Amino acid sequence: MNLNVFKKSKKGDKLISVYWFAILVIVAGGIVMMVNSFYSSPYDVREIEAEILATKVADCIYPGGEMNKMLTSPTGTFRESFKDDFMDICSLNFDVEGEFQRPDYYVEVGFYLDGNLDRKKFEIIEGNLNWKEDCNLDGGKQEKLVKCVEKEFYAADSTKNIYLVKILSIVGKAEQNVK
Amino acid sequence: MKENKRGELLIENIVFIILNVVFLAILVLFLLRQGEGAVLLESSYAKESALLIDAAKPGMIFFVNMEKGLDVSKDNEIDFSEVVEVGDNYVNVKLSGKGGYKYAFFNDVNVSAYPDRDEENNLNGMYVFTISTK
Repeated sequence: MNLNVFKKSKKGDKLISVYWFAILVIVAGGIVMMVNSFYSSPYDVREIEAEILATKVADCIYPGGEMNKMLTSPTGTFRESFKDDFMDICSLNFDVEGEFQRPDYYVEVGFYLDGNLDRKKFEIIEGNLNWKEDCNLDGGKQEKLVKCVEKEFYAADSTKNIYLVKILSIVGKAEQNVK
Repeated sequence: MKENKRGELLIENIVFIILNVVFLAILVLFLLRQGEGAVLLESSYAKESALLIDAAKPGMIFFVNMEKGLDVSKDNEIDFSEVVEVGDNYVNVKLSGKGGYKYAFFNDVNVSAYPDRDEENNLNGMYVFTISTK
């Protein structure tokens, strides 16, 4: 009687061990797949990059809480020369290895008098203009193309005019940051 | 007869436990080895360095911890002093025999990078970046 029970339980043990290994293989396979998919996707650093770019531009336009003296004249008018030499003045370089290719960056700065969005007084645009339209795409599509960061702050010039400064910075580099 | 069956049962259980342990050990080793591959380290070091350069101002010096990279470069027989190359607005990190991983930065500054050494002149796995005006 006891022997029969023993035999039955032994068969059951073997059966359980086969299933046990089958479960282990399935679990391990799942873990391997998840880990592989995690590590095969590149780190997406574009948002941080766009934040740094916007902050750098803001520091250049309004260093130490004062409007950059190369940007506005003592009478409060914006200088076109700042727009022309924006990249040099703000020590930016969007060209890699001096190659002629479309840059992976775009920066746009708008100055709105008294914060009124209809009264744009000055604008600076640099980089690849094609990226701007991609910022308006739906979340998923946009993520695969560009990262867009918008910053805004108020700035006063030497004549006490108040401007709303809106900075839009965009980073492409999708190949290196998106799977 | 009974003794034999008990012995068989014990061996089966031991084999079962050993196989389980081996299986789990392989899985743990696999998980531990992930994230230490040359390709993954190259991209993360290059991006980290490029972001730090972007955020830096002339006169700054910063250190990047590349201890894992030091081990990988030794395994792949790459001179650690040649792991990081800073070119015209890009950082290239090379930890294997292949070309490495290049990432661009937008800050228009001069950057020099060299491996740090401890008091006994041994490599400590840190890389030093110095930023100066162009």
